[in-house]
Amino acid sequence: MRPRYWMTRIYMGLSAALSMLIVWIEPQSLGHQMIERSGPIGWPAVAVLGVVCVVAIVDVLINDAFDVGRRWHCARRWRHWVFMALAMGLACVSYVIVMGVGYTPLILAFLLDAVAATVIAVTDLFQQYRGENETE
Amino acid sequence: MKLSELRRAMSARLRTATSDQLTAPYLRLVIWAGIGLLWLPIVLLLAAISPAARAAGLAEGFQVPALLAGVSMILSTLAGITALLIRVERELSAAPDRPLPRPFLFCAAHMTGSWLAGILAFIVNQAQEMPPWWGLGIVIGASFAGAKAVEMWAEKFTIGRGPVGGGAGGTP
Repeated sequence: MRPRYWMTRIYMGLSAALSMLIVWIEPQSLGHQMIERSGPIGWPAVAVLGVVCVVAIVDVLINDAFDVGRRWHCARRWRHWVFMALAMGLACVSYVIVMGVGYTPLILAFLLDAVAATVIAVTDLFQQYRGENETE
Repeated sequence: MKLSELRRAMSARLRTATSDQLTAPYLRLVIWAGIGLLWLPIVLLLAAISPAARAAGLAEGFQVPALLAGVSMILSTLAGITALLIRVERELSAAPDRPLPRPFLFCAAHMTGSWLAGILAFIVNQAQEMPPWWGLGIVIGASFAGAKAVEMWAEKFTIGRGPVGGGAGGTP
């Protein structure tokens, strides 16, 4: 049985990836300006977070959504750490924005995604060991 | 010391045995004491950022944005959850079908260390006026280290006292 929450995972990955894409390519966005002002570590950190998003999306596509004849076992084994990294990265971006401009409703979107990613990570860890996550 | 030996020593230091020791009464006492201590920096932080303290001039030189403190607490929580998941994964891989021993206590041990270290790191971070990413790294690193420290301390505190419920990893 396929895991029923794979759609939640792909939404989570796409949402975070879209947020990072907007931060990266849209100079008028608040996130872009805050990352720009945060120092030399800002852009590498956003790039790493983007890679984590891509790993989360590709994991769903290969392991759950499509039957491509191969499995990416490594991504499945480390899935909960991928989502914890995603949560941590989104919370870090929120911190940088708050430090730059104080309160803005934008951080609520990032923090909500961070909480959702944490819930997915915890759920996935238990499902992995309790045998409820079999895809075959 | 060779690099490989150092890595093994560090790995052994960071790992604690899967066990039922979290049900030990001494550990319960330690955790409740930790939770009690946790309130001290929180009270200090709230007092420092309160409007009354600012009006009285008591918080002069220590201006802490409440929202930034809140986001730091969220980061600290995430770091604590990461440390908790490492431990939970070890427990589950040792015995997948066995329920976790006292989950509330299990969580409280990690979150106590994480929040305590995170708050202290945030106060130091604000006092030193560090750049954003350095501050982030310090809060996250301190929170994770705090959670692991409480876990290791709790294991050491109860080692050799024997498992309460028996089971995988416990001493006979």
